[in-house]
Amino acid sequence: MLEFNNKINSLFDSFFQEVVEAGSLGDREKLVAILTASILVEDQEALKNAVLAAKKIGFTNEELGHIHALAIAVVSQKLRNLGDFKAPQPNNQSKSKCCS
Amino acid sequence: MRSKAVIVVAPKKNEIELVQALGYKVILFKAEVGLDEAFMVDLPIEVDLNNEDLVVERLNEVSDRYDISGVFTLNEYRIPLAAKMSNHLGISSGLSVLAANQCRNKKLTRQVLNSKNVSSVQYELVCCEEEAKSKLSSFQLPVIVKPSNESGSKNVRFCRTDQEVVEAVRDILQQSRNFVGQPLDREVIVEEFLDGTEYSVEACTIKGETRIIAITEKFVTPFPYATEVGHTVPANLCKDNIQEISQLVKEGLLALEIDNGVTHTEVKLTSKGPKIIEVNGRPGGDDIPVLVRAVTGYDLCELSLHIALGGSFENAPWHEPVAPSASIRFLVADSSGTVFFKEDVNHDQLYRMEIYVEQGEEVAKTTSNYNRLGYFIVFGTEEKSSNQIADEVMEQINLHVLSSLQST
Repeated sequence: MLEFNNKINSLFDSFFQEVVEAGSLGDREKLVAILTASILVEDQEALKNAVLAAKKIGFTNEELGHIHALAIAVVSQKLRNLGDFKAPQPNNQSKSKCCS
Repeated sequence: MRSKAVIVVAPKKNEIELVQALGYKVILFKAEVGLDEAFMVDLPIEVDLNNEDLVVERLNEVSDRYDISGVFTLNEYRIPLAAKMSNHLGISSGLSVLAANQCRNKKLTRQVLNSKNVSSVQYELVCCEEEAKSKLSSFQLPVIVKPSNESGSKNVRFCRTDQEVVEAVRDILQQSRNFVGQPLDREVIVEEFLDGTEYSVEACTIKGETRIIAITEKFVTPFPYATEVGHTVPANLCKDNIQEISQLVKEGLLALEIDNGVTHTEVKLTSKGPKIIEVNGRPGGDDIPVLVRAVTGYDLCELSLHIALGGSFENAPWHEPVAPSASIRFLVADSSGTVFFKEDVNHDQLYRMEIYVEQGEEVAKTTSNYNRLGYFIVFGTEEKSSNQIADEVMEQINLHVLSSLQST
């Protein structure tokens, strides 16, 4: 079982590396995406690694703060949508055929 | 234009805040960077600090991007690394690699001091139990057995018999690495036991001139544990003793070629005069810098950074002293059992208090500086010394431990 777990983890790592290294996005754009995703999924380790990588290529705390704010904004939109009360639409077409 | 930055290595205290307060960018070198630290600093670098080649590689990467003004650490284990990094960058405003190594490794400290006839102490280096046994004949028991490159009194043993010496040597040699994973020096120190009151001397040396900032009196439980239970600044010493201790420390620092740094030298005042126990190329631990700042106005951590950046003593940062004396006392369990204490302690001169255990918690007997139960810091007044105030606060806290038999 342990061997299987190691294998799965190794596959995940390879997949992560492949996705990060490939594609048409630049390094900064990739990091913005990784930072945002790790904030949203609340993965502290991924977030820390992303911050280390981001600062290595020159991200400032202001920029990281903005990404964080954007992630929070997305979450707040989701909450707002949850808060919208959607009343069931009245059905004007009467199904009663009586007295028609 | 490249930004001015300071490299902070494995911070232990408030190194990052101190550097930021001076307006420098912070480049952090640490084995494991926390998320908060990653956000806090400008460039966090996670690197195995025990792999010096890798550290130099990372250093080369950042030195092109930043104008590095200094390398700063208050971490005992990383003083030699910081010195090597400074040296690699061509920064001369810090401890030399030689001096850093001669402080960090207690075997080298003894070798240098004895060779220069400063604070000579009888000692032998042993690599195995057999060698310890054979070399013991030249000693008068008790002796002290200690590792060469540990810190914080870890594995320092007071030995009354040959058997205890053999066991202590064996225990040390069973470990291959020290607390931070560096290879443990295979030569163990066996040295004469120095009996007397213990002091530490907080000093700074800049461009060859050493100034004694303060002498701290240490309160230690009797051997075999020798746990530090308190410190007071200034030490209660007569003029002659102050002069004698200060002179010895200045000679010791000169012998060890210490320049451009803050030092914390532990000294015992024996019947044969003061003797150096060890020299550390950094400010003392246990909040001694808080006591020193309150009494002298010099913040030893701030002063360390100031020196690392090439500052002189004349323009060193200084704050108005707030008390004529200051003390820290540690709360200890004199036996294992259930701990009780008063939580809401009030005293005008109480500066800070922290208790690590909960009321009614089971605690083990305090046997080292690593299992103390808490501490408090008090400042003295013109009328009353901090030692007297500390006694009053200790009485108020009334910490006591009941054995399981007593508490039922």
